[in-house]
Amino acid sequence: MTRTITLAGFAVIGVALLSFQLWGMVTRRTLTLDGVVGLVVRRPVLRWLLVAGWLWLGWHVFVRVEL
Amino acid sequence: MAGRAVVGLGVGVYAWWATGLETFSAESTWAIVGAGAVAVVVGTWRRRMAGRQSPLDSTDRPEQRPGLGIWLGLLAVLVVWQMSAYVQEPREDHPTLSYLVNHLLDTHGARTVACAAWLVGAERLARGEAT
Repeated sequence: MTRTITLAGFAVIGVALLSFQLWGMVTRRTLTLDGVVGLVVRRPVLRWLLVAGWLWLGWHVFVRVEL
Repeated sequence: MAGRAVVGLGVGVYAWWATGLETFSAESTWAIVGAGAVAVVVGTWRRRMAGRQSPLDSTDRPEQRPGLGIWLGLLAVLVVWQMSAYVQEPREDHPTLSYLVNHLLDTHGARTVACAAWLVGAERLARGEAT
C-alpha cells in the first residue's frame, strides 16, 4: 500500500462511521456511538475493559509520542 | 455551576502541565496514568453515590436501537486496516492512526484540549455513562 491508499482507506472508514453516526442522530432509528458505549458500560466486565483501554489510549497518545 | 468551572479550569491547567512534560519519561507516565486513575476513581465513586445500575434511565434508550452489527463491522474493518498499515514500513508511507493522531496533536494547545477531554472521558466511562 502507498501512503495515499492508506490515507484513503482511513478516510473511507471514517466517513462511513461518521455517516452512520449522523444517520442515527438525525433519524433516531439506529444505534449511535453513544448507544454502543451505553451497551458496553452497563456490563461491569466490559466497562472495566473499556476503562482500561481508555487509560492505555491516554498513555499511548500523551506519553509515547514523538514530538 | 461555579464548582464545575473551577474543576474544568483545574483539569485544563493540569492537562497543560502534564502534556508539557518530556515524553517517554517516568514523570510523564505518572502524570498521565495517575490522573487517569484518579478520574476513574472519581467516576466510580460518583457511580456508587448515585446508586444506579443502568446509566441510561431516560425514556429514549438509544442502546435498544438496531445497528450494533454495523458498528462492530465498521470497527473490525478499521482494526484490519490499522493492522495492515502497522505491519508495514516505513511509517511515512504506511501511516497508522497513532501516527496521524500525533501529527494532529502536534501543538501544546491541541494536546492540552485532547488530554482534558480524555480525562473527562475516563471519569464518565467509570461512572457508567456514554461519553
